[in-house]
Amino acid sequence: MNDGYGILPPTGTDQLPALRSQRREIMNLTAEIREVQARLASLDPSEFWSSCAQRAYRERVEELVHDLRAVVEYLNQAQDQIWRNICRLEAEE
Amino acid sequence: MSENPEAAHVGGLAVSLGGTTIVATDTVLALAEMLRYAQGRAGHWQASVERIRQLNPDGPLKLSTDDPGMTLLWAWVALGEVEQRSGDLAAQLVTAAEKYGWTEQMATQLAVLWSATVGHELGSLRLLALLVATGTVAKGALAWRVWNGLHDTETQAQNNQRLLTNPAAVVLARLLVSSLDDVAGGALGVPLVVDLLLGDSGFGLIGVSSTAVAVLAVARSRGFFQEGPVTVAPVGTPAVAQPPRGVVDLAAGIPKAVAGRPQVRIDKYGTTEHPSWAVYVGGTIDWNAAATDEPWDLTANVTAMAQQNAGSFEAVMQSMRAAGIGPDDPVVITGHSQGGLVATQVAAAGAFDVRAVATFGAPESRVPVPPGVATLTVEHTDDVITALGGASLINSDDRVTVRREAYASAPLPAGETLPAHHLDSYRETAQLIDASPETNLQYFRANVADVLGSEPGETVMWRGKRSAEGAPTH
Repeated sequence: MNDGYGILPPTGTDQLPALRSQRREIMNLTAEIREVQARLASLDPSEFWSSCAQRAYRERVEELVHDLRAVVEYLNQAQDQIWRNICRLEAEE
Repeated sequence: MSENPEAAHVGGLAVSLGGTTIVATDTVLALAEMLRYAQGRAGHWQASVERIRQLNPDGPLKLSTDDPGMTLLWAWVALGEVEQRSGDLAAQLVTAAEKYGWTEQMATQLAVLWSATVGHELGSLRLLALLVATGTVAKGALAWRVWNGLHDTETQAQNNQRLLTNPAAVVLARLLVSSLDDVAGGALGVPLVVDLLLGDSGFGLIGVSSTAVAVLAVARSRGFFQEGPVTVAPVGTPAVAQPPRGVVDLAAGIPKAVAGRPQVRIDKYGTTEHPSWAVYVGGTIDWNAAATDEPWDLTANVTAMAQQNAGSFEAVMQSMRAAGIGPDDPVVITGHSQGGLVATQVAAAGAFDVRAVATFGAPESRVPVPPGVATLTVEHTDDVITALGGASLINSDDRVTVRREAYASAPLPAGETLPAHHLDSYRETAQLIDASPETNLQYFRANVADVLGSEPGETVMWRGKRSAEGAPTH
C-alpha cells in the first residue's frame, strides 16, 4: 500500500498501473522513432550529388539511422523488462 | 548537361542570393530541413524518455537487471547523439552549398577575366575589330540567327536547336558578348590593364552597354534600329483579376508575345484611396533589324541593352501613367525576355514605387535596381537569350536568382528553335519555385502578397505602337 508520502514502499497493486502506462508510452515513442528512421533511410542524394560527396553524405545518414536503431533496441529492452515486472507482480498477487 | 557534375540536379533549382553568395538546390534544402526535423524530434524524444523513466515506480534508477531505468538512460544518451549528429549534418549541407556558390562565383569572374584578355588580344590584332566597326553585331547577329533558324532546313534547324539549347553554348555566348568591348578596346590600342579595369571584370564602366551603343550608332547610320515615339491604348474592357498567390501566377499573368496583341497587362488591387498595382510585360515580338510599328522588337532589345529608352520601355511607362498609377502607389512588375529587361529598367527609373520585380529569361543587365526592391531573376541555363546581356556579376542582397536547366532530361520539342526560352517553359519552372521550401523564395512570395493583398481587383490589357516615320505596320 502506498502511503502517499514515500515512507512505505509501494505494493504490487500500486505499481501495476504505473508500469502499464510506462510500457504504453514506450510503445508509442518507439513507433514515432521508427517512422522518422524510415524517412531518414529513404533520403536519396543521388539526384543532386555524385561520387565522394554523395558517399560521405550517405555514410553520415546511415550513422544516424544506426543510432536510431540502437535507441529502438534500448526501448524494446526496456519494454521487455517492464513486461517481465508486470508478469511477476501479477503472479505475486 | 550540367556545368558542374558535383552539383548536377536533374530538373532541380539552383537558388542564389546577392549575386552568387549562396547556391543551394531545393533538394539539398529539403534534405537539410528533414535533418533539422530529426534533430528537433530527437530533443523531444529525449524529454519523453526522461519523463517515462521518472514513471518507474521503484524510482528513476535502480541498478538491477530487471530495472528499465538503466536501459532508458542508455536510450536517452543515444538520442542526444542523434540530436547532435543530425544538427551537424544539416549545417554541413548548407555550408557545402555556400562553398559551391563561392566556387561558382570565382569561376565566373575568372572566365570573364580570361575572355576579356583573349578579346583584347584579338582586338589588338585588329582581326575582329573590323566585325565590330562594320556593325556586324554579335548580339543582333546571334538573335537574327536564332530566329531565322526557323527558315533553315529541318536538319539545320535541329542542329541549331541542339546547339542553342546547350548550357555550355550559353556560357560561351555570355563570355563572347562580355568580351566584345575588350575586342574594341584592343583594336583601339587601349592598354590591357586599363581595359580590364574599366570593363566587366573591373568597375563595369564599359561593357555590353558600350558595345550596344556602338552597334546602334553604326546600325542607325545604315537605317536599322531606328527608334521612334510610341503611343499606347487600352485593349478590350476591364475584367476581374485575382491577385497572384505565387510565382506561378506572376508568370501566368505575362502576355504572350503575339504580333498585333497587347504587350502589357496592368492589374489594380487594394482600395481607391490606397491602390496597389501588378504590371506584366511580354517578350520580344518582332526580331527584324528594321524597326516597324511594333515596339517589342529587336530595335528595342538593342536600345535597352545600350541603357537607352527603348520603345517598349516608353510604352510601359506610358501605359502605367495612363492606367492611373501614382508615383507613391506600390507596384509589382513582372516580365519575360525583353519584358524582364524593361521591368528592371522601370524599377531603376524611380518614377514609380516599385516594390518587387520578377524577370523570366531576361538578358542579364547591369541596370541597378534600387536597394530594398525585392528582385527575383529566373534563368534557364540552356536559354541563350539570357546570355545576350553578357555576364552582369550583379551583387545585391535584394536579388534572388533561380537557375534551372529546362531540358536537362526532357527531349527537345520539334519545331521550336529556343524551347528553353519559351514562356511556357518558364511557367513550369515557376511551379518548382512555388513548391520550393527555400527561405528567400518564400520571402519573395510574401513580399508580393504584402503589396497586392488577397482581394480581387481589375485588369486591363494595353498595346503600344511605334510611330516610326515610314515604318512598316504589323
